[in-house]
Amino acid sequence: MNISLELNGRPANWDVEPGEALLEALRRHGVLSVKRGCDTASCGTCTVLLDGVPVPSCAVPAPRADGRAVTTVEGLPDEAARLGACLAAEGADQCGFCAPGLVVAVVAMSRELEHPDEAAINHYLAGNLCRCGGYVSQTRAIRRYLQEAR
Amino acid sequence: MAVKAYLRPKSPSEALALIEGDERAALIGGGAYLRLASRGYETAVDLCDAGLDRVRVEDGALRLGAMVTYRRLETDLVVRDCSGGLLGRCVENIVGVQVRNIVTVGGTVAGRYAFANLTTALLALGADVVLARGGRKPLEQFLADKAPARDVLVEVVVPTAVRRSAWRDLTRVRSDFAVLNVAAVDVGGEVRVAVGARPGVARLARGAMQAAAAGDARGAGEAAAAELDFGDDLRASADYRRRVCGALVTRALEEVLA
Ligand SMILES: Cc1cc2nc3c(=O)[nH]c(=O)nc-3n(C[C@H](O)[C@H](O)[C@H](O)COP(=O)(O)OP(=O)(O)OC[C@H]3O[C@@H](n4cnc5c(N)ncnc54)[C@H](O)[C@@H]3O)c2cc1C
Ligand code: FES
Ligand code: FES
Repeated sequence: MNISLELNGRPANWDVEPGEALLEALRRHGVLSVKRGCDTASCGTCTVLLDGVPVPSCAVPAPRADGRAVTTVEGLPDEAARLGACLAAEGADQCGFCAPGLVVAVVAMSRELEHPDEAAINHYLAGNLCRCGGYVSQTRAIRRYLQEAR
Repeated sequence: MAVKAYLRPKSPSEALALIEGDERAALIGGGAYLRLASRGYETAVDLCDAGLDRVRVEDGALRLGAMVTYRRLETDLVVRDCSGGLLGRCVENIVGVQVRNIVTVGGTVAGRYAFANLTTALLALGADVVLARGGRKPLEQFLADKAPARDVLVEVVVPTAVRRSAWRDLTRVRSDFAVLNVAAVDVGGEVRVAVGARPGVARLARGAMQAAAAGDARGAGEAAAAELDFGDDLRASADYRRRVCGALVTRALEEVLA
């Protein structure tokens, strides 16, 4: 079936399977920043913004994106560069597999929460797992990013 | 079974017509749990355009549309005020915001999931469900229905006379399914207690409610542990759950009766 969406600010017309997840459709159309981690809505690596709201793309039916705006890390280049620099500076980036989903979630958080403290950051990002275990350094990097963004 | 068609009905009655008599059609709320289910389906009936995402207060009751998300339960000030914060608190540690942005009230209640924190809280609050065909009935009756007809859950109606509420659950690690969950509320002077994940579906603890009416939180904990059934699964044994139940019910009621 055919769907029309806005992908990172540009119109897109895709043919999708009625049963496929948005994650699969994105990757099939070359948006490879969106990672498949668990495929069961548990890890956050596949996070995208759907009309500005962070969702696990592995659990959203692709046809549900029809008529809506999807944003991946490619659509957030400035934020990704700045947060990426903070992650690197704090030694928080290891294999990097979790990073695209984390960047999208952090951007969503910075738009949704005003001056989140460490507890609020950890709570908001609890759905973004990192197998390399860099949570402490990640939190440091995110606080630095939020401070610099002010 | 591969999904062959994807449909977006514009109303609950249209959705009902699509699933009635078609065993191969499945409703999609958040879709998060449906994906994990082993039973396949051929036709996906997505409720996202069926006008079920409203939160409103009407005739002294909070009406939550079936497509209202968990995140909305956490952040919507009307929901927070009406339930004494209970509806937000019971879901706020489930996975992460991404999941809570998609999973729905309707998918949870209709799924009759035994582990569901939200179902326990709604049962304690004395909620009713409204079904497209079956009409309005108490959640307790809905959960007890052994052979439910195919239907569309339209909304959940929650009394707003909540004076105090308390939530307690025990998880082995943060954001895991609960070993046991407990909600206690004072609704208009009546104290109600529900216990879920025993691992059976949520039930009211009526003996505990009687003890609570007499102001006895400890006796209520003992009553709940004695009157409810508990079972073993990979998270905990029945005996462990029974002991946890007594403690959590007492603690929840100490908060509500304080
Ligand atoms: C990774 C993960 C971890 C989770 N952890 C927890 C946890 O720790 N605690 C907890 O309480 N919950 C947990 N949940 C469950 C979650 O909170 C929801 O209860 C669950 O996802 C169902 O909601 P949904 O909107 O996704 O339903 P769906 O998957 O869309 O639907 C569930 C079932 O209900 C049917 N259905 C959907 N909407 C309706 C309707 N309006 N009328 C009639 N039938 C309908 C569907 O056909 C399906 O059979 C978890 C879920 C996931 C994916
Ligand atoms: S791949 Fe979607 S949450 Fe893990
Ligand atoms: S850096 Fe490897 S998963 Fe996070």
